[in-house]
Amino acid sequence: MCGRRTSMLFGGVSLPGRPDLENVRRLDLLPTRSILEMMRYGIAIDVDHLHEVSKRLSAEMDELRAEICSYIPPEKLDEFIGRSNLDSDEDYLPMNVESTHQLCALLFDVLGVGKSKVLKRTKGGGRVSTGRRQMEQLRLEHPVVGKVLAYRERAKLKGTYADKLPRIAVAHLGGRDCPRCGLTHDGPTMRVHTQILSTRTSTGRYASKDPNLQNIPIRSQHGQDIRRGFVASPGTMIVGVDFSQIELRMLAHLAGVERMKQAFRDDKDIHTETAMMAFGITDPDKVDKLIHRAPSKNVNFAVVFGETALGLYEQLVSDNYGKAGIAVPDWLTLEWCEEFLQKWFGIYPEVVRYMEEQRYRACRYGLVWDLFGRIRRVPEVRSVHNRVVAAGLRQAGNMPIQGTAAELMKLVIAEVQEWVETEVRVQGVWCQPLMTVHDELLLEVDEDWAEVVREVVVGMFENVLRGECSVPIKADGKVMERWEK
Amino acid sequence: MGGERRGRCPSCKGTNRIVYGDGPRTARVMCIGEAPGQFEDRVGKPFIGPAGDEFNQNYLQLAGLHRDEVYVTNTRKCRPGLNRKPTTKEAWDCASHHLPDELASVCPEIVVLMGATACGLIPDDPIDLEVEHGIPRPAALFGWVGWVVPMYHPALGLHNTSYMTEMLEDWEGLREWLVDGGWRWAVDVRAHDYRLVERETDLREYCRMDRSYQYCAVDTETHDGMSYSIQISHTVGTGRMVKIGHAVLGDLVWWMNEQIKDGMELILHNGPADLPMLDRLYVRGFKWRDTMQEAYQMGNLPQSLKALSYRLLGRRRRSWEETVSGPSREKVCEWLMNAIDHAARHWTTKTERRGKKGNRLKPKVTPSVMEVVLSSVLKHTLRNETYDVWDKLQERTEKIGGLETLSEIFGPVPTKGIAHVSMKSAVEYGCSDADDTLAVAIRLEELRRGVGADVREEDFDAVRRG
Repeated sequence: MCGRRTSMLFGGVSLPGRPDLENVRRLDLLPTRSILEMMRYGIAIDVDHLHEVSKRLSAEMDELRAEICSYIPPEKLDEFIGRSNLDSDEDYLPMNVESTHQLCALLFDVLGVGKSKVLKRTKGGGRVSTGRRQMEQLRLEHPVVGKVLAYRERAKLKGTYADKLPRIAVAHLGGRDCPRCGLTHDGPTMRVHTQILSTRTSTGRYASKDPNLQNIPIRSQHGQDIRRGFVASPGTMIVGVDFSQIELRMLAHLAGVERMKQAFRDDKDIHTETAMMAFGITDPDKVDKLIHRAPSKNVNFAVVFGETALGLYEQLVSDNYGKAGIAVPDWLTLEWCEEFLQKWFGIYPEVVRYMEEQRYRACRYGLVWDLFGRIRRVPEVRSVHNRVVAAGLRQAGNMPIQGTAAELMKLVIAEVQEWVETEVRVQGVWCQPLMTVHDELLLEVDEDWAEVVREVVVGMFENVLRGECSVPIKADGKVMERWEK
Repeated sequence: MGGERRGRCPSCKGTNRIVYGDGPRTARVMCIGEAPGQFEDRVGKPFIGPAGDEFNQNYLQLAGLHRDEVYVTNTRKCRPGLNRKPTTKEAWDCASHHLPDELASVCPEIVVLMGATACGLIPDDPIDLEVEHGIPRPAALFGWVGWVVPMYHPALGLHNTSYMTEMLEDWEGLREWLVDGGWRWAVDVRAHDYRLVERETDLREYCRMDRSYQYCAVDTETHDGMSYSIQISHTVGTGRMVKIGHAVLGDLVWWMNEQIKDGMELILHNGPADLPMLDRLYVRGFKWRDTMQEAYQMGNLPQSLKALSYRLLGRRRRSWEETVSGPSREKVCEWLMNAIDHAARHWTTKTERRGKKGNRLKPKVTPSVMEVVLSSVLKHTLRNETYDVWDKLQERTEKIGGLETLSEIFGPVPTKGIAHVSMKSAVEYGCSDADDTLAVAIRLEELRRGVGADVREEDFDAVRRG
């Protein structure tokens, strides 16, 4: 063990490597001005695009509902019609998919889904749960489950974003001194003002509400469609910069994982590297995306969140095979996952030591801390219930990684804001941070300057720790007309 | 077993077992929970399920108690169907049926009320658990008089572990009190000096130029999106309010900027809410602290100023909601009465009616939809203090239309805000906000210094350079 780190970063923030609330206080105050500006200025939306998305989602929901209803056996049809509240003659479909009561009746009573399994029940034991986790596990049991999940995803996106965003958007007029934000706009826009909350999470991350822009799914096509509804104001472009695999890089740095560090230094794909080591493959071209890379990628991320073998199994079954509609191969079992996890820890033994260290801190001091000195209390270790203790220890292992990544984002936001104020706007160039979503920062920049700003901001992201990190920090930047992945 | 065993209470449907209290009659401490769960119902003893294990082996031990020396019972004695929470009536019926005898028989020194249901047994002076958990207060309970300690229910920590730190600290606090009677909870005994600044001399007297101030807590109030007032406090127990637009405002801003140049730090609670107004007033270039963020960084404290003030300083204060709600509702009721009167005069439909013989009958009077809706909203507002009149008014008049016309005649519907409150209450609320922020900041400074002070140097993060 070595002494503490006191190197100065932007704003006089340091990396004490021990609980240091004074350092965290300094850090938390740094991005406040930028966050306030983001909330005041808002982000422009394309109302027509969102209406289009809403219509498309509605049509798809109708189709899915019809498909789900087609699974009702004709002899049971009357029973479902009796249960539905059909309010119009056009609504000929006998089932309301959003009714958990009817869904239960169809899935478990009529179709007998999950008969061979022990199913989780709702609080109070009233009926079988139709919660997302259980449904994900049942996805491969019957095709109707996938359709229900697809219906729910669309319903959620439609209600929370496609329909709601145009409703809550505020008009900003073109010209000088916009009455809403006091700034100058090239043309009128409809803008959404989200609330960014800095004191809601236990890891120091920002939360967002009304609307929650951090919750738009990034992987699904529909989530992407919603994101494309956020656009640049007339005459500007959106510059989006995000950290690349920041949590894994932080894990490599904090735990001192040599093999991971080397892979990051050599700019190799860490998931392929893990797969090659775990499966004994020497040629990267022979790494199969589904068989080798997918479980490696899942474990790489799962370890950060303290996932168990069962969690890994469920993730692989539902995310990798379920969503792709591919049958789960015979070799993918719980035992295989256990073995794979062990193999993974064999490749990266430093992670085991790191987890032990966090466990020790949680038990001895009742808290863990990140690189900047933010603490997370771990009262769970005092519980008499093993599952509560285990959950607490998982959080203890995760917090320093996620917390440090979140602090880096705060530092970058503050640094970018200062640069924008002192060097960009003084040249008459319009540049405004718009929003931060996890590891990503969006800015609105004059069209002609977008490339320059992208380059500089990427540099700021990559140099945020001023060389105080044993792993290179990478960032990706993009210039967009619409918010895209 | 304490007390005579009584039969089922009036609200008990008699489907589940009655789980009576358990413990010695001589117990010094009586703990009252919510209701039996499935394990308790099966065995017939309170607190023996998962939450019971946590209670017996974790929390009681922290308080230096053993299950055998504590009398444990529930507000409701039989398990409500499907583990649901008992309704207020069920809880009250059952408690008033069984608890008086139990309390009289055991006659404990301290009663620990665990969870909101049990805390609801003191209806006259309601317990706000977020603010008061773990802090004893004298109370009367079904004829028994003594110390009551409100606590979170042991099951809460299992469902939501973010409460667990506070729960552990509450029970540890109880131990100190039980062992040596050591009072570790803050008590506010200070008189305060809160005033509205109306003359330049008032300001000069409070904000002296011949002195340098290290800190100044600042709070701002807005009403309906417009700046209303600014409050400052540089000494604990004092506070001054200056209304926006008043002649002395410029002097205050000048004084603040001069002090800031000399190094005065501003202390805010939830800074992002105050910073825009300070910017508009041209208070610039200051260093600042945010007590809400500092409480958040501690990881074991609430973030609202009301809860922080009570828990750290022993000060009871009213929240913004409690301060402005009543007077604002009165204003809305006034507006509603005018609007209803207008609707009745101008929008009512009168239909001519004739009898069978063609004679004229009294015309049929049909009130307008707007009148009916507004009357209903007014009725509910007057009857129910928690009725959100602003939300309901918006929701119920959205499809009818006509609200704009009424707004043109009587002005917009009065919003909830500080401007409707009497000046005395506004000054009291605003100045105490700044004053409490200052006092909380000082207390937080002490507490923050202790965090992680016991971490040994060898446990600091290792430098793992590649």
